[in-house]
Amino acid sequence: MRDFLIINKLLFKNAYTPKEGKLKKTIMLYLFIIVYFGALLIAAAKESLSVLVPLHMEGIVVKGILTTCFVLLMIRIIFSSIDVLFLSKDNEVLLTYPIKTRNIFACKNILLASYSSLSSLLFILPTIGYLAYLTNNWILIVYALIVGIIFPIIPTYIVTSLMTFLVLHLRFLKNKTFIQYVGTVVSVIVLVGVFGITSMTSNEELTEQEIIAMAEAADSTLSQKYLEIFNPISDILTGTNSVRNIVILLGLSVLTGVICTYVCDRPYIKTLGIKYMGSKGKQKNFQNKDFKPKGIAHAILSNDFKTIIKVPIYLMQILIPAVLLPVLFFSPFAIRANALEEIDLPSLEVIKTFGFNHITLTVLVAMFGSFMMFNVSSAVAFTKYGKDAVVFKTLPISNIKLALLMNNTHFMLSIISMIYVLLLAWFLFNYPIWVYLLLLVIFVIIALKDGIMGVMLDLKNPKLDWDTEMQAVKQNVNLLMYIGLCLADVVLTIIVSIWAKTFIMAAVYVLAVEILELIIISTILKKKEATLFKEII
Amino acid sequence: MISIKNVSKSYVKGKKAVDGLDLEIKNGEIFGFLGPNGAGKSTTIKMITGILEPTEGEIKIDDYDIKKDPELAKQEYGYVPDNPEIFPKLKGIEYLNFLADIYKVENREEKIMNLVKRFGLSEYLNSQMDTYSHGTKQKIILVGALLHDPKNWILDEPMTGLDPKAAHELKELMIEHAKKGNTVFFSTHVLEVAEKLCDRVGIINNGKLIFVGSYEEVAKNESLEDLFLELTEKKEEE
Repeated sequence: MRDFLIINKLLFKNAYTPKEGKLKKTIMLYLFIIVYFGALLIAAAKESLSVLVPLHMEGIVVKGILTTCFVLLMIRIIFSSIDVLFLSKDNEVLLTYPIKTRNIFACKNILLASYSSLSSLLFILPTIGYLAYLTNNWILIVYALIVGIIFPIIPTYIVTSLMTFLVLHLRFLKNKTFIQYVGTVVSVIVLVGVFGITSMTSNEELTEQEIIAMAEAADSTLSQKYLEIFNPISDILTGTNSVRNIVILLGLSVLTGVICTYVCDRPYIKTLGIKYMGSKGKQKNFQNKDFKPKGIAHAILSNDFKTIIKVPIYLMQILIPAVLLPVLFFSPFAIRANALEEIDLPSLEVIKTFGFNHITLTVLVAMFGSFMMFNVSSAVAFTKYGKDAVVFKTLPISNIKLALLMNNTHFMLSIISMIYVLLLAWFLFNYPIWVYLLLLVIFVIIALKDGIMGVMLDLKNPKLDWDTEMQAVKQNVNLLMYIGLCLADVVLTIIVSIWAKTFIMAAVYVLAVEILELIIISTILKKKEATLFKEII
Repeated sequence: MISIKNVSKSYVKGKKAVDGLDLEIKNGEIFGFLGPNGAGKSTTIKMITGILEPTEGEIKIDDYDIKKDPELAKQEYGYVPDNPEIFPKLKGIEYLNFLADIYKVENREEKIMNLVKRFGLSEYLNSQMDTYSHGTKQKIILVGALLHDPKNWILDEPMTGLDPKAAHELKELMIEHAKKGNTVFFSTHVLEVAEKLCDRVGIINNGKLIFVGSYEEVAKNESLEDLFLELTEKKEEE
């Protein structure tokens, strides 16, 4: 027990002590996150709560919040567990201490659960707080606090145990990057299957009975059952014995922890070797083509893409959202081969009449601007390299050129969104060529401006001191700032173009605003270049 | 040639990490930069390479001011940092090609393969750098730094982690490089290496250069170790 407490103390101190002189910044960051997400969540739940509270059906919203939180936590734990449990640098030190190895697994799970508890509190507290305000039932906040802390414990232990056994059996891959990829994908598939947290979609039209049957099936999934049994917030709303359920939830959490720790003790120790498995390529006779020269821009872009692709967490957080989000948006068109036939011709004709309306331009530009919010690569342009970022400062490239070159990945990823939106415009409106060129110019300026803005945010406050790549992209205030600023720009675009009377006027206004923003941002970069690069050390 | 004139650096107001440093490393010279931990060695090297900006003073590499003409100045040196954990996800060959692209190295195939053979790295080139041992990482960083034939070598603790053969090879390369009329500036904690290799050594303590002199000047009275201990301990007592 003494070992257990000492290791917990060490891990928690290491994880939660802010860097010297950064306490104020850390507090500001968390306040910002709380206010930002709190406002978003309350805004999202406001309408449904105000409708359901008078009908005493607010339990549905509570269940919805907890289910969403549960799904997000599961995915988060899958990603964090690989870093914290298997790849963390502290394992080498902890294994040399005269302590029982199972304590390492148990303590690391508690640390992971604490991360999840913080996330779930962030998710649950604002909306439940708002519900408490609406119902004047302030004890709900106390319950939200308790549930937020306790309910991630069981999923954490289950996920990490599953990951341990998966990694144990994936060791034959002899490559930690492959193990990370395969382990993550398999875990997501297994968990989605076991907990049944997604509903199946079909190309066929569903009948009312089928929809009801699917809803009933979803309600009987493991995740829903788990949240139904251990949902003291809903219990208190329905007058059930919520205190007893909290005690049961706590007891079961401890029991799960103990069982998982004992079951995973030996397998976990065996998995720790994966840290030293890398992509050890076969010896190769290099030929001329292996030494083909590239330009500086190409070299930096290629280095950037290789880094993103070879680090699973970067691939998931940087590349996939930028590429897949637009694809998902257009998937209804793409999946259904007969999409053209499904849109009845009169409505397509009606849509076409809006082609040169200023609202249409607003929608197209806002759509592209929204896609840019998910292209966060520039906001971690230097941060993703950690301490290696300092190497860039020793290269014979001027600071401004370097800042612009580090924006190349962002720009390349933006091209995908440009193509999607232009294709949509072509499909719906069949514009003359000059319109596409005009839209392309607007999109290019937005992409450039957002990219440079992201790089500047990263330069201003880079997060270079991390142990695992997860820390570089998680809890990174620059990403939130970047998304917030992109959102503000979308709102500004909408205001400006709605103000116009015609398509052309709207395009001119938007173009003027975007060019002005680009000029302002570029001027700041030029003037503050030396100050901005000061933090890359 | 590396010229450092009246250079100071303060991280915190009123406290100088490097204080009024004046130093000139001439062409054809191997200069050893010594000092206890936290004396200001790394800060000085970071200022020479342009990673940190001096609070005051001027640094020139082959007549190019690192502040005013950073691109030209950076083209003139090859730098090996104290920590060889660089771009761990790249393969050795990818890292070297990246540097060759940035420095626009001509005949890169020949240059890369020659250096790789010299440091015994052939079998590692196709593997990701995070699989390398500390010494192998150090060697690949060295090869990268030498690839564009820089006149000035700036090496921060270059011997750390190298096996005896590679360390010998590096020493030979340093001597060879200096003989061609080029400059080698390196920091080290290994006084024996400095004693055997350097034309001159500089000792820094608490940010101030407390000794600069040739091996002959050191050897007049005592060994480099005695001098180092005497100077740094005296400062501590003060």
